[in-house]
Amino acid sequence: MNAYAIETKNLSIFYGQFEAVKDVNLQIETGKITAIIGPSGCGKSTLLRAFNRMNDFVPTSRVNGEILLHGQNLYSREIDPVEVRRRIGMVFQRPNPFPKSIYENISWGARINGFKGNMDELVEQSLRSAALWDEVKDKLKQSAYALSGGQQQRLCIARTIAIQPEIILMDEPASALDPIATLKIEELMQELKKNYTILIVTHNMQQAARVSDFTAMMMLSGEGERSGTVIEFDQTTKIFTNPRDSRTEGYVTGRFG
Amino acid sequence: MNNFSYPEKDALNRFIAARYRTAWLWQIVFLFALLFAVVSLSALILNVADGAFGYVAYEYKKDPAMISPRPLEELTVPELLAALKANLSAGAFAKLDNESPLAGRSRAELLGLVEERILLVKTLETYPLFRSLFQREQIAAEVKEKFPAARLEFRAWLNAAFITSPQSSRAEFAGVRTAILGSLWLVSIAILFALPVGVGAAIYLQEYSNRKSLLNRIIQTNINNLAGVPSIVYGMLGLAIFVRAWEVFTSGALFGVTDSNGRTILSAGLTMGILVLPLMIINAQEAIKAVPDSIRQAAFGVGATRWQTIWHHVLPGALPGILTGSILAVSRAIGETAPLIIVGASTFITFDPQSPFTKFTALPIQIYQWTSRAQGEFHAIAAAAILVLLIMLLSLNATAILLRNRFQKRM
Ligand SMILES: Nc1ncnc2c1ncn2[C@@H]1O[C@H](COP(=O)(O)OP(=O)(O)O)[C@@H](O)[C@H]1O
Ligand SMILES: [Mg+2]
Repeated sequence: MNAYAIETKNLSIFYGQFEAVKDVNLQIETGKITAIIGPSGCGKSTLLRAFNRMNDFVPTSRVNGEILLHGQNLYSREIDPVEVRRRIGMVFQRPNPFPKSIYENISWGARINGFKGNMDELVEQSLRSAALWDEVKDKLKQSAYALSGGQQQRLCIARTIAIQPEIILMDEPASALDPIATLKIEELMQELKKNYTILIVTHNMQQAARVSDFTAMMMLSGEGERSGTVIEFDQTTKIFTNPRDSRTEGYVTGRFG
Repeated sequence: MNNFSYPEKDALNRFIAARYRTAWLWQIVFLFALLFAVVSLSALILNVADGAFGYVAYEYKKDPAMISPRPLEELTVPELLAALKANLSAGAFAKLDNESPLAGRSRAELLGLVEERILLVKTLETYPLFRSLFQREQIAAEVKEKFPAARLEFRAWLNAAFITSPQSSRAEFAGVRTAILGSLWLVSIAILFALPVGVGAAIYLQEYSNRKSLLNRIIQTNINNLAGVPSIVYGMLGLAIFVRAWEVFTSGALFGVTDSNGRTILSAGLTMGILVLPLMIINAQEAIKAVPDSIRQAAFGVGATRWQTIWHHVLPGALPGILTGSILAVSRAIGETAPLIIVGASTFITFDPQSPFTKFTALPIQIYQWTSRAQGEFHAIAAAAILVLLIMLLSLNATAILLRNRFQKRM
């Protein structure tokens, strides 16, 4: 068996002719939180969306290289992207609950994936795991839009947990939230990593330092500095205290980027 | 120092005053535009109402006194029945009885029959509403001089009998029942055809196809242009395809109907369907576009297929917009005249349409036909029919607004 939850081999991602992400080799460890940091436009979201094939919806996008889940390439022909997205869940930058009730927000994903079992229990358990149950247990039938931004984001996390993925991808999940709601999400991530492997893109250096075990530093490089790539990947403490690359050092200490 | 500067003191005051003057001028221009619109629309409505109500001078060929010494309005049902029996030939009486038992008809209906069949009412002159309201004595004097024997009466040409009576060659007894039913059949067929096809096409364009491909852009441009093609062109298309080429289908021959040709409700309904299809597609596309992408991403993110995403999230989100658009398309179809004339609407039909394979007439056709008659009473019922059409349109639009508000609240 492979020790890694997921790994990439010489992964490059194109939008048409434009190589947005170039030559990424990452080994993501199971049950850990891995942060992807770097300046805007360096391809963090592009890389993250490649892990659950969300880039498929951009007609011009194309992938070279491999992303291996249990030794199998996610981009090989026999893989169904819909199935990939069930096994690798995603939480987006802005909370995007469905315009439905809180209950349905969680049950829908389960239902379409053929969930068999007690739906009420699944909803309760998912909401508890997302630290939201106590706040919403009396209003499960109300619209999810009535919740605050932070609650909505935790609902989105609960919705993802409900389909029991192996890996959860988070693209700047707290960037639209206030500091208290952000803190709640960060605490929640520590709980979740007991059961899930988490990959998080963040803008916020302190957040990466606080929550993650590993950090991948991305930067524009290559020809004309247009393609993003991972310039350094290591344990978070190393990246923040003793980086090998001078560009990483400059970025994490706030000197540029 | 640099030479940037802003006006100050007197210059500033003048500058501000000038700005307000410009703003005020534009405000006046917009106000006049609004007033002009309101006045033209009111003039339209008033003009129609002017024709649909007013005094009418008429006379009976036969003196009502011959039937009864008392005024006709006071006669009871049995007395009216007796009068009909006494004055109509046995055959004519039996025929009327056959259509619907005379004894079972209402007093108003019997009174109408007496006027129509025995007294032979004849309209001499009709007067518009505003003259009727403001120049009563003058009208009375005029009638007395021109038609000494005539009766003068204020009449609402738009009344219950007008709505419920079938077409007749005599304006006094003609109604729009057949035309209303014909119009309803037409728009139902048009919507049954255009709604699913239009929404389907819109879903494919928005959700499946590559929006940026050349083929897609060509198709999109064509749909947009088709929405602006004059309706008469659609009429010719309908004539060539539905009436002629598909005659076995549209005449119902395929389904065992023998006594008809291709000029049926079905042909006209399908023509209307094609006519509103571009509108339907564009409108459904707009509604689908308005569903935020984040919802689609959320659905895909939990492992939904494209179809599950569309069915559970995109369509419910787009539904209010699609419904509103359909109703507006219906309003368009209800008012169309030219294509109906081309596909061969009948102008004189006295029976209710019973199936899609019957001949038909529709409100705009009826209006068109009545306005082209010389006699004033036909102009009056044309005005009344226009009011019926306007009321139908207004209620449809009101429904559209109500539906939209209702669905929006639910979101
Ligand atoms: N859908 C797309 N089509 C074309 N180019 C894109 C698309 N999304 C992102 N890009 C480009 O890819 C590069 C990386 O973007 P992104 O992954 O969003 O960066 P980040 O998340 O690090 O800010 C940028 O240059 C951006 O303009
Ligand atoms: Mg991003």
